[in-house]
Amino acid sequence: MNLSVSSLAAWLRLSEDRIFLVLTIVVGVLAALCAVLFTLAIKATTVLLFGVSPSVLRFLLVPSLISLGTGFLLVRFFPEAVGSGVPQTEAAFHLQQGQIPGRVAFGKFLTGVLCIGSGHSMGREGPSVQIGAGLASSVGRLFRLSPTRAQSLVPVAAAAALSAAFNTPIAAVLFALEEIIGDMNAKLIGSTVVASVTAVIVERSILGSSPIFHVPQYRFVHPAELIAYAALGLVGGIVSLAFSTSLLKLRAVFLRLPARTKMFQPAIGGVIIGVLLIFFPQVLGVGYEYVDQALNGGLLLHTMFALCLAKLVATVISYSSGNAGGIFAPSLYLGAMAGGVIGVLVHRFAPFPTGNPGAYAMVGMGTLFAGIIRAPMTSVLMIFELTDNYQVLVPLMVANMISFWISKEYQPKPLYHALLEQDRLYLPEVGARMTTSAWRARDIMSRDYISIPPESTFKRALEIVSQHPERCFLVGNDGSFSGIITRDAIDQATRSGLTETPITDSIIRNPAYVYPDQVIGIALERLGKNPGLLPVLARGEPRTIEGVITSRTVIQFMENNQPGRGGDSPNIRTTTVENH
Amino acid sequence: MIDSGQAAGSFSRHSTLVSEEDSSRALDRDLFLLTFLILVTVALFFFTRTIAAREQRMEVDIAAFWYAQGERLLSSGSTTQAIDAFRKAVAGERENRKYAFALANALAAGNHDQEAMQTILRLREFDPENADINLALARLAAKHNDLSETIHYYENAIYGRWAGTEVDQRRREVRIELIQFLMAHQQRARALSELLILDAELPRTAEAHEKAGELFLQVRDAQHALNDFSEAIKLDNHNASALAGVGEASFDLGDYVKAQRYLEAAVLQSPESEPAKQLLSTVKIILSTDPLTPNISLKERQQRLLRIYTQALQRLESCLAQFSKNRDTGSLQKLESEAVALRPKLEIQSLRRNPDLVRSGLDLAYRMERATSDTCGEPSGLDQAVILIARRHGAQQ
Repeated sequence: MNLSVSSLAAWLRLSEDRIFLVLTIVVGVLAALCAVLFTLAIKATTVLLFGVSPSVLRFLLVPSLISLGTGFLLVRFFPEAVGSGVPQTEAAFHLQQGQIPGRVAFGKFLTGVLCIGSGHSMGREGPSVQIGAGLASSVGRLFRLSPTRAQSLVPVAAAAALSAAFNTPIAAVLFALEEIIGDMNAKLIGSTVVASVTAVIVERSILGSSPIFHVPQYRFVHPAELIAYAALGLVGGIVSLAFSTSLLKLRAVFLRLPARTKMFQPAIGGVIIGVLLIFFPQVLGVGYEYVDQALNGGLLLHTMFALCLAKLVATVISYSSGNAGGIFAPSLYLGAMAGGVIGVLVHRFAPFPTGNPGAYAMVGMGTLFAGIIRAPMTSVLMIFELTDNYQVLVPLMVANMISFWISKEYQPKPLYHALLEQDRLYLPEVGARMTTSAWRARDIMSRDYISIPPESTFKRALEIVSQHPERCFLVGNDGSFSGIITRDAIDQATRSGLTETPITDSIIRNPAYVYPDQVIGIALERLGKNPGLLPVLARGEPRTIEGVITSRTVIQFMENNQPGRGGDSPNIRTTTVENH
Repeated sequence: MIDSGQAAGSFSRHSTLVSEEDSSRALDRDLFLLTFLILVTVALFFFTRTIAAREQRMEVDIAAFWYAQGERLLSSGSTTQAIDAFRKAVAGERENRKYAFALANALAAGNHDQEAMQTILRLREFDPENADINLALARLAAKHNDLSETIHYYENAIYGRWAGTEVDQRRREVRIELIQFLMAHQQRARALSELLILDAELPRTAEAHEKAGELFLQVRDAQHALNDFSEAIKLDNHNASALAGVGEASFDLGDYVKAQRYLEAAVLQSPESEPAKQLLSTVKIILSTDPLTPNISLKERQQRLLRIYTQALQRLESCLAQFSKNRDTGSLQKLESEAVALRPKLEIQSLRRNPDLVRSGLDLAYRMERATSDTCGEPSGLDQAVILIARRHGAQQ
């Protein structure tokens, strides 16, 4: 017995690789269970709060009163739970090495259920992603995984959660790669596939294998229909733009309101939603039953048009006012309605044979998803998986690409990133993302730097720099960044007798800089643009200094990381990452 | 330069400097945590399943509520609201085909034919032999005058699997529906063959035979109609409709004496029956004006012939007066001249000398009525009787 236990222990003398593999599966199951529970809780809450056939009074009171409570919870206890959850997960992955506080998952679950269950026009998928990612982060901490491993669990859990929430395992993997990681060739693809498949098995074993939408097998009737689908792409792009722009603008308005109003902002949204629900009860919550109707050609032209507008307004208000919920479902809803409208018009007026309007609603879903979420490949696969319809792939790709292009052309910043930037969080650009094997600026920077206060005179500056051999120095106070100044500038001013003059005019205010997560190639390229010093600034707070890179720090780094030296160097960590 | 604390933390697992004992302790901890986490996950799985099952039951109840609402609304004529209610029922319990079928029927009632068709076709995928589903599809196809699809689905319904009782009765009703559809679409031969199948399967009830008789009359198979109406009378000799049916069938077969007898009986049973009364009146005209009726005097024969002749000529002249300006009426004028030339020969002496003049006169009257019918519309009353009398005596249509 002892022998077998010890041999088991020996087998389980797990390398981190094995633990990670097991955790991938466990996290996949946990994320799926949470996503399923989240869905069930929202449904139960909706029935509890609104009843089976809600009265006008309930429509009016429920969102307002519940939003008062969620406003309190979100401001006091769970500020990270506001909004979708996808951008927050991206930020945690890219900026905080996947670290998400333990309370976030719980907070998101609670507030998400209350917000969506009380009628706010928001989706459940984004929150599911954040809940799953939050759990994964906690699991990573519990197992004391290395930061890179812990970070890797986040997109894995996100894929699992999305897979369970949407019943779309392939699209979920693609979403994790395309949106969360931002790298379609990421080495985490194996883990995300495992987690995603695990999650969908769990989800189906609980809820059954019935797809979210029941769609007839539509056909691509005539080649000329591609023109109609291109028009749908155009409309989808415009609606995506309208949605993203209005959401960002209204959110900016809410963010500018005094801090003391923050707690009541969700309730303001709740009141407006309550009024809207009286006239358009179809925009309540997630609203997939109406998407299903549009997909089956079961809604009239004017109804779909009205619902498209109402849903847009409702979602913009719900989201901007600081409630907890996602925009996945609303984007699909908007797409189905917009597509349905185009489909009916094409069906009536096109001079060539056309498919059922439901087929246009289906393509419309993908179109809006591509335009708003900006994940065109995910959108194609997601619609394919959601509807099980191969026939619409070509029209779907045509419409998606047009919508994506229009949206990108007129709103270059993707919505999730723009939302983060409103919160002063700046994600790395695509080129700098998640090449896990690459060295980062943080690896070669030095936290040991000289900083000259910006109000100093040249005399004081000379005193400071005289002890150091560098050619260029930071200007700033207590870690804040004001610019850089060269030794030559200080020497020249001193020689000219300007010793008591402040250095203000000689400060280079906008030098090249990098963020800590940017790859070393970018850092070296930018170092060449500055006179010998490259500031490394914090992403969340761009006027805060994290460190500096100079030619000396680069040389020192290279010496420390020569082949065979190993030791106290990030090289070892990176090698570990590459071996997953 | 490099944050050594961070770097060290990042690969603490792999550090060769960590002692064997510490490593073993860490692994024991990992093993414990992993076991604990798996147990928690399993417990959460069963908890979620329980919650899901409970919620599913709740959704089933809600769906049943909306289904009942939908039924109520549909029966009160509020089709749009009924559709909404059925949609909610279906959304609540997607696998419930009864709800989906109710939705489809409501959609069809609300003229949302395309969606109704899609919904029913989806249901048919699961149960292709279901008679109700096929019948609903047949009715939708019939609404769109899709002949082949309608026949296909009606046949599927007739030979499909029926739920409940009175299956034969329902099959017959569907076949009758099919026959009526076929007749409405001028598919007489197909309708007749379906009708013959129906006739062979009829139960021994007056209503069934009466209905079959009516259908035979509609497809102009008077002999089978007569048989069925006669059978119906055998089963219920006070059945006014069957009596009228025998009268009508006999009328179609040219047996006006029998037709008069049964039509009089029918009118006696059901005095308010206008069609029977009208037909009886025509029969009486025929019987009282037929110049070839046996066992009547020559004078009576001549009077009948003159009456027919005069009636036909008057209609011809009236038709000529009406259309001579704007139509080519050459053939009518030729007939008029022929009639004028025949008139002197219709005296009693001529008829005595040449009895065939009766038939010639009748034939001319028939041709005049036919020609005026083509130009001035369908005849009625005595004009119609002239045509029927001529046909009775062998005039070609």
